Parts: sequence; structure tokens; C-alpha cells
Amino acid sequence: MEWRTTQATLLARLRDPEDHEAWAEFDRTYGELILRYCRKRGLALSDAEDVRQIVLLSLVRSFPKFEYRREKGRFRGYLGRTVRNAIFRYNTRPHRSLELLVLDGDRPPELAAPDDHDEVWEREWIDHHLRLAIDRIRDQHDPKSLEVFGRLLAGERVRQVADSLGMSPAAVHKIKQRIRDRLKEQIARQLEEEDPSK
Amino acid sequence: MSHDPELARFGLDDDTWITRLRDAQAPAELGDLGPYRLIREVARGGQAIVYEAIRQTDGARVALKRLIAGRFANAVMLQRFEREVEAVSLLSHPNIVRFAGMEMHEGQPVVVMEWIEGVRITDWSRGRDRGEVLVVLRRIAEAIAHAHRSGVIHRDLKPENILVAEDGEPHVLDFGIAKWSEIAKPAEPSLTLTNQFLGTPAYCSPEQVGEDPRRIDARTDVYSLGVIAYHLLVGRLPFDLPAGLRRVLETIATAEPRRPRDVAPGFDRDLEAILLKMLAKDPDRRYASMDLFLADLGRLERGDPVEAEGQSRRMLLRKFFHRNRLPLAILSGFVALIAAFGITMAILYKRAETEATRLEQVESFLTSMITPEGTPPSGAPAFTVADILDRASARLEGGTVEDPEVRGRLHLRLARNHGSIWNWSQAAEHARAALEVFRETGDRSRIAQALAQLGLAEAFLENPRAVGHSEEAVAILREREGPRSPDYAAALGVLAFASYRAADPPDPERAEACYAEALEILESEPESGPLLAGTYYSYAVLAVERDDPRAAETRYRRALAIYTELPRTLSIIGARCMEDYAKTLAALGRVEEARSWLHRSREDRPLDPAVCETPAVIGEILRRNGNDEAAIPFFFESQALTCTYLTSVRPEHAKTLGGFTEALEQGRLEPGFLLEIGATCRRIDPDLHASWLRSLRSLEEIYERTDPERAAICRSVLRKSGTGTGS
Repeated sequence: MEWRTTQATLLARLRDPEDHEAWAEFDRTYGELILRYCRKRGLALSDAEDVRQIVLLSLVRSFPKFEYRREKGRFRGYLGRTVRNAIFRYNTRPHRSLELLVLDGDRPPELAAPDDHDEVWEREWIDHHLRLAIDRIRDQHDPKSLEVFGRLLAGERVRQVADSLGMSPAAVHKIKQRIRDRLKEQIARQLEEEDPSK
Repeated sequence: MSHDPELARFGLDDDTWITRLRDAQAPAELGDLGPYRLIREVARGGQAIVYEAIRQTDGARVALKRLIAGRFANAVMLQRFEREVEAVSLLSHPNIVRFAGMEMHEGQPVVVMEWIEGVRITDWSRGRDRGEVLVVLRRIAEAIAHAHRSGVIHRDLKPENILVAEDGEPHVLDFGIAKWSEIAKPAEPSLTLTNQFLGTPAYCSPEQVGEDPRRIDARTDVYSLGVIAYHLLVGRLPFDLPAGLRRVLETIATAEPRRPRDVAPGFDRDLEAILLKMLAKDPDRRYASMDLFLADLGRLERGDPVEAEGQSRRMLLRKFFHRNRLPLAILSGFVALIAAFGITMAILYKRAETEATRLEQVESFLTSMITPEGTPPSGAPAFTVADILDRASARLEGGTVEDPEVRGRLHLRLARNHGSIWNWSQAAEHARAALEVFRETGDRSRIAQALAQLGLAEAFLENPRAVGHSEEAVAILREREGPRSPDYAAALGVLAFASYRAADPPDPERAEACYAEALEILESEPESGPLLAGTYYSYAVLAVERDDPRAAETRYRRALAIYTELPRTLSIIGARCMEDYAKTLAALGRVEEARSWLHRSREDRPLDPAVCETPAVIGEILRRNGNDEAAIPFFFESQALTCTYLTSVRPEHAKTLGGFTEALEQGRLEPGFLLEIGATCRRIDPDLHASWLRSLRSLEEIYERTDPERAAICRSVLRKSGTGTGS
């Protein structure tokens, strides 16, 4: 459970703009989500990378002031807004310096009504948590289970997996079930960490 | 769990949940960048992202480096950047990844590099032995040295930038690109700080984390390679990096690296010395070039004493504050011991030389070195001892001396003279050359062979090889001079010293036996004063190391009784002996006696930085033994002496600093004059400055418990004095 405690403090640690490990960890964790979302919104990879950079630097500035109050909105909403704002600024001010683009973010959002119900973002956010969860439950499983899981992910049917690994289909099913349970627990944990209930 | 409705959105309860996972895991479409199809992201740092890519025009696999925020570069930056890329493109070395050049795509600068299939060096090194790692380190250093000769500095050496291919060849990537932050420094400080170090700063040099990037030069790469070498050979980083960027940077700027032998007992001493030299905070204390590091690595491989060792010995006393051993164990007067050892050697040489033929030729050869052609015009700096020795070595190697006996003698003399200025690697080379000559001249040169062996023992003083060399010398002298001869006793003293200081593991029993035998011979020898005193002195240090203060006291007393009878020329060693005795007394809690011996040690003695530091060492011993109250005056004494010393070397400060000495002697503590002393110290002698800071820090710790006001003064002075060497 060591992971949980460090992770639980990640968002808290981000309040310190100088905690560079926390920011590096944040960038590793959420960077890909931001990138994928930008690509879905039609940005070229290079532009997506620039936006990722603007978002990161904007968060370094704004995060210490961010309040987690679940009733005021979730972290993913806050992050999604920051990304959309950054894309907007990036697209509308092509000749502005990176620094100014970041500093512009200190002003109130430019979008008339921040569209908090952004299906693309919601979908990407779910995928992000699925990837994170898969990654993080890996070391809770023995190599055999991981092999089974890998094959299932690659699209093999239960029977095929059972045959090629010399197991009974029931055993494969059992592993599949167990992994699904772990994933659910893991995702619940991630959500709790992202938006603590207390 | 309170997130159930949320959780339902993840679709894990649907039958298609596996498909859902597969979709989420599908690699993101990276797309194209100009003519390149991007395959995957292989590395990401604070400055740039590297992709594996295929050039669609010819199918070639390349590595593409795209600068983060490169689009925002202005024309001047881009030009500078392009010039750097061009310089790197010109490098041609099998262990440097080739740059094909810089291209602009989508309005951004992209560097195109040769694609290398390999693993990161830290992954490669797992389970490899030292020999293999050193071979690869040598290759890397050679590649970097090649770049340095072309005027290109890497600046960002770290494991991510060194790949080892399947054939075992390392490849250094990412050469010479100025850090983006050096080109484009945002005005808003919060932006730089986080942005700059999204990569790991663990391999950055102190000057890079400092404020002045102009200080970055080839020695910056020496430092970073030192951290990598340390990581590979010791198995961890030289520092524990704390959380928080500012503290990390502070650690890099100020924390002394852990000694490898403290982390990995039995770690090779020479290799340790090399690593610590690479990791010196002050670039002036590192190898001045990659080539000099390579030369030392060569010495290590051949088993010769390394250059770095001389430095580490010199640093030994200064370093002991950083070691957390028992106070008693830090008392050994190692520097003084080497001096005592030098006396032993000098006496032996002198005696052997008076018996030697052709001494005149030796003398005239050496004299000719002091008045060479091209004597500097008056006003130019005089030749240093080292210059003269270098000249003599060159002439000797030039083959102008034909008589082997003269040549051997000259090598011996040069070994001795190099030893006296702590030039251990050259001392060893000459001692070895002498040994070779005398082995050829045969039986009549047996004594000279013994001297050459002792010369090697001295050069290898902290290395296990010293034991073998001194054993040889002992055997020869016993056979030639007999078991009661003072020369034999002197060699025994050297063997004793080597047995506990150099042997691995140390053999204190043998050392005791050798000392006892040597002393028994020398006590019955009327003319053996300096040898006898030196032997008692080093015997006393053995007692200190074995944690036997009573025996130490008896031996120090005996040594001091002899030193006080000796001519003045030897009194400096006697004074050192008094200082060491005072330290032992302090450790035993006998403060007044310690103070009295400390003061005696300074009688008729010129003030030097070591003298200034000694009272602080005693203060530190007392402090660590919980005797804060007794410690304070010693720290003040050290401060006052430092002040007097500064006045003596910089008379122009006499007016201001003179008053401070008095104030300190009265126990006053004011930020104004402390800062002035610190600043002057820093300009004159960095070592003295470091010890001055340490003693101030110790005072601060004491006052923290007893006198908050004074603690605050110390703290503010420490803060303003800046503990780093970088700025």
C-alpha cells in the first residue's frame, strides 16, 4: 500500500511549485492524457506537445490556488478546462511567446461558458485511468496470470488461451475475473486519490 | 467505496471490458513530422523529446529530437542552436552518435540523429564486473575527450544519454546542445525552475545549478561522468537527493559525496580517489580535462599510484568532519605522519648517499636544472620545485645520462623530491625506474634497491601494495645491514605503518610487533633521535586507531620528549605531534591540558591554514563528546587565528581585520565582521573558507541549544556567505 500513500499526496505536493519530483510525476501520469486529447481535437503532434507544455506551466502557477471541493467540481473538470483554455490560447495567438501564453492563463477563462461536458475529454480520461490501472496492478500478479492477461488483451479467446497455455478454460476464466476485480479496486483507488472524499 | 456511479462508467462490468481495455491501450497515433513517420517516443526530458522514426524517402531509421517549445525560439536563438548542431555534426567518433543536421518541420527545429539499437548504460551494467565497466567508461571518456578537442562540451551527460549496443560499444547521444534554458531564459522564474529540471538533475554539476552558466566548461562533463561512473561502480548515486527542487540543487551545490568505501567496504582506494576527484565541487579541483582523467585511469589499470590519490591524502584531514566516525578515530595526525615518514626516508637516503659513489655527478645534474637556459627574466615568477623536477625528469628520460648508477641515483632522488611535494604518481614512476636500474646493476646496488622499494611503499602509502614493497625493503636491509641496524629498524617502522594503514584487511598485531622491534633497536642507538621520535609518533597513532588512549598518551609523551631535544628544523613535526596529542587529550576530556599543548604547538611557528583549523578540530571533538561549553572557546580561537592569518597574507586588510581578531578574542560575535572575514577567506584560500564555514556551523549548532540570539547571528552569516562554490 506504499504506492497509495505516495500517490495520495501527489496532488497535495503539487501545491509546492518547486517540488519538481511531484511535477515530473504529474507530467508522467497526465502528460499522455493531455497529448491524446489534443490529437483527438485535431492538433498535430508538435502542437499537442506545445499545449502539454503550456498546460504544465500554467498548472505550476495556478495549482497552489486550486481548491479541492468536490461539490465545486472534480479535478478532471479543472484539468480539462485548463487544457481547453490552453488550446484556445495557442490557436488564437500564433505569434505569442510561450511565456506569455502561460501568463495569459492567469486571467479568467476566455471561453464564454466552459463546456464542462466534453465527451472527448471524458472518454480520454476514462482511457487514461484504464491504462494507469493496468500498469499499476501488474506487479500484483504472477507471471502466469500476466501471460493470460496479455493474450486476452491481444484478442485471443478464453479457449485459445487455455489450449496454448495448457490450462483449463475455467482456470483462465478465474484469472480473468480476478484481474477484473483488481482493476475495479485499483480504479476506485485512483478516483479517490484524484478527488479525495474528505 | 464511494465512487460506484463513477466506476460504472469504466465499463468493467460489461462483457466487452477486455475490448475496452485494448482500445484504451492502443498506441496514440503519432503521425508524421515532415518526411518522417514517427514510430514511438523513446525519451523525454525537460528539454526535448526523442522519437524513433523512419525517413519515408529512403526507409532509413533515425532518431529525431524535437525541442520542447522549439516553436517559440526567436531567430537569434535558432541561429545559435543551428551553429551548435553544426559543430556536433562535424564530430566523427565511433562512440558518438552522429548528427545528420538540423531541419525545420512544422515551424520547429528538429535534430536528426543516427539511430542506435542499445540499452541504457545503467541497465547494461547490472551484473557486470568492474573490469567491464571500466572498459566502457574509458570508451565514453575517449569519445568525450574527442569532442572536447573539437570544442564541443556535452553538458548533459546522464545514463539516458549513453546507450550500450549489443557488441558492447557505448554510444554517447545528445552532444553539445546548449540547454534550452541557457538560450531562452524566461523572465518569470517559476517557469524556468520547474521546466528546466523535468529531467533528473542528479547528474548536473554544481556550476550548472549555480547562477552563472558561463562557468560551464569541459570540467562540467568530467563531473557528470563522475556521477555516472560512481553510479555504475558503487551501485548508487553519490548523494541522497531530497524532495524539492531547491533542496536538490542545494545538495548538488554543497553536499560532499559519500566515500565509496563507506558504502561498499573494500572498494578500491585508488578508484575511490579518482571518483572523488571527478566529483569535486570546485571545478579547479577536478581533473582539468578528460585526458587527465584517462591518464589516471591508465595508471589505475597498470597498478601505478593515481594522481587523485595525492589530493585525497592532502584532503584527508580536511575531510574528516564529514566522516561520522568516533571522535577518537579522527585524531590520527595523518599529515604529520607522512611528514615523519618523510624524515625517515630522508635520513635513509642521506646515509645511503654518503656511501654512494658518483654523488657529485648527481648533484651537478640537479644543480644544472635550477639554472637552465631560458631562466625567466626578473619579475617573472620563479620556477617552482615541480617545474625543476619536470625538467630533470625530461632530461633524464632524454637519455643524456649514460652511467646507470648515476641514472638510478637520480631517479631515486627525484622520487624522494617528488614525494616531498606530494607528487605521488611521479614519485612512484621514478622509484620504479630506479628499481629497474638497480636490479640490472646487480648485487652492489642492494641497498639502493631497498631504498627504491621504500620509495614505492611511500608512494603507495594507503594502498595494500605498500606492504609488499616495505617487506622487500625490510628483508634486504636485514640481510645487508644486520638485525640491529637502524636502517633495518627504520624500514620496520614503515612496514608497521603499512600493516595497519595500507593492508587490506589491516593487520594491527603485525604492526605492534614491528613497532616493538624497531623501537627496541632504536632506543639503544645514540644517534637515532628523529627516527625514534617519528616511530613513537606513528606508534601513538596506532594506539589512537585501536582506541587505546592510555598507550597513545605514553607514546606521544615519549615522542614529544625527544622532539623537544631535537634541532629546530625538525620542530614542525614536533609541533604537529603536540597538536595530535592535544586532540587525544581533548577526546579524553582533559580540556586544560589539551589547551596547553595546543598553545605550545604554536610557539615559534609560522601561522598557516592548518594551524588556524586545529583549535576548531579540538572544539569539534569536544562538541561531539557533549562538552559544548568547553568547545566554544576553541571555535573562537580558530576564528581569531584565521583572522590573524588573513591579515598576515593580506596586510592591506590589517586595519579592518585586526580589530576583528581582538573582538573575537573577547568572545564577541557580530555579523558585520564575520561576513568580512568569510569574504576575505573565500578570496584567499577555499579550503580555509570551507573550514571556517564548518566551525561557524558547529557554533550555530551549539548556540541553537543555548543562545538563540547567537544562533541566529551564525545562521544569517552562513546564509549570506553562501555555502556553494558555484556562485
